[in-house]
Amino acid sequence: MRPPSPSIPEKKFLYDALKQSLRLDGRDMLDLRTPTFTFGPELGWVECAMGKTRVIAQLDAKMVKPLPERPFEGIITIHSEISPMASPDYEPGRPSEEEVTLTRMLDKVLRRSDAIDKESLCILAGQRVWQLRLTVHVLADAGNILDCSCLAGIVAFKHFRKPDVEVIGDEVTVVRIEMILLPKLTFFEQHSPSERAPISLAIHHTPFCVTFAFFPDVLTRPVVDPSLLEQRLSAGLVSIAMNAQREICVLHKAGGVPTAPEEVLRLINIASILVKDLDKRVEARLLEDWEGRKVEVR
Amino acid sequence: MSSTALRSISISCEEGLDGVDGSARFSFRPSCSALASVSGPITARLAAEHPARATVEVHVRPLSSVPGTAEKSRGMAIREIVERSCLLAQHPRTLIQVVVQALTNPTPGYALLAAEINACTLALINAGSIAMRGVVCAVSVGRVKKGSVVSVEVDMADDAVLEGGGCFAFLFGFALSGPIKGSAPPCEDVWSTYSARPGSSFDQAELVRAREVAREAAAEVWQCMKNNIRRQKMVGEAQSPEEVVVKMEI
Repeated sequence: MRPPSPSIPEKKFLYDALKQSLRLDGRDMLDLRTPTFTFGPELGWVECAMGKTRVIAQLDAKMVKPLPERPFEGIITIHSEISPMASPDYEPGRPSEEEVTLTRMLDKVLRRSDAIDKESLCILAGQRVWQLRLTVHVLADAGNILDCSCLAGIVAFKHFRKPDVEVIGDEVTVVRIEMILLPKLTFFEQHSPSERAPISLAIHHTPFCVTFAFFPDVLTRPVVDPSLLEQRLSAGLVSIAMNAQREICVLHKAGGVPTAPEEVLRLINIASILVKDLDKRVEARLLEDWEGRKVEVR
Repeated sequence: MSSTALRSISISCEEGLDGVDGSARFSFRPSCSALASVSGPITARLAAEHPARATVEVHVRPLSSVPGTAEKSRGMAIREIVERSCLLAQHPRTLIQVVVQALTNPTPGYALLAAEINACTLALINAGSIAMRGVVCAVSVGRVKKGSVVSVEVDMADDAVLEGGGCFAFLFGFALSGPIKGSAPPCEDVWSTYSARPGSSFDQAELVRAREVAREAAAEVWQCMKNNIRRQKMVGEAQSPEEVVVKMEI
């Protein structure tokens, strides 16, 4: 059986090139691969590609009973299992270390950072709330699926529109004549998209994740957005999730590479510049897609 | 009806998914689309390898949430089809790993399964590493009520009113014996399923009619696949081999 990549010549070549601040794909040390977005026909379906790394994120919503300890909040669940499509190294049913990191980071960046307002997902306190289910599929792993997945996830949240629901209480509000309204009973009417424009989710801030890879040689500077080979040969990774307002949501450091505090601050500054650029790009792309859809706003 | 139904087929093999040997996307319409990838022949786990032929492993993943029983049953169907259509004896003790990703939500009928089977076939062709007996094309058919015309499932509105339906997969190959209809090679029935919703039923005559309708539609799917492959650029080519867009004869 062939021993797994990377081979010794690949390793030596990469380290020597990085010592001279040269990356194998020609990028600068602090250059991200430009992300491209493809939106599906449905709202909340987005395919994000960073170079050859591709991720699909899909969001759907349904009405459920809220958790008893939180009757005013909606529920957000994130599924992110990596299939063997990303690479035959990933086996289904056995989460690799990479997969565990991905699940934890997505959870922290998208759920725990309170990027999406859960209270706005409440329809009727204690009885009905929206449950948003985000599913992330990694189609191809060419390095840095973490950044790509976080990006796809937050763009899916921004792209999604939930149906407009009106609670008809004791008052007889005539919206549909054929409905029989009894007093003291509440009915939910889910408007079909052709009746009322669907509404976007309440998003407090937009977190983006930037990953740096450190290498065993102390003199080699860290690189941004590592490719597959760079990620496999790295000694440690630092992922910083922050928003365009320079607020840090998550700082994740793995691998145990000794890093001075000044270095960490320098990385945060670099990340904040990259995140501002990403934010502008995402907004422009979402606007472009929205103009292209014929959604009537009454 | 059957000939105009398949006009919105869209095939894309220009995926170039990095981690696998071959991949392709197939959709009957924008609301019914699937992506398949093939890796193989690759090293099999010791427990899974077979001494005389390749082992086929199929993973089907839905668009939302985790795979469930529906995905497992589709996976079994696809595995049977791949085992029957590929020459597995040429690669003993290896693994052929097929991963199918549904890109749209499942429909009540069998359209998504048919799209997945077609995507697998295209991915196997795109990989080019496994010899096949022929090209498998699948279509889904349905009928509104007992005794009415069986037609190819067209759009989402149809799904809601269909009372019975099924999916038929045919293997097309010039080496097979059989009549040649039009430009498509002879075909043999390689996998099929047909069912009626609770409260309804079907008889043998309907099944035979359904198979005939499906056979014609599958020939059109075959033609679509051929046109698309003809237009594809090979590695190193600057332009595609045919400048003129090949129109499908309807």
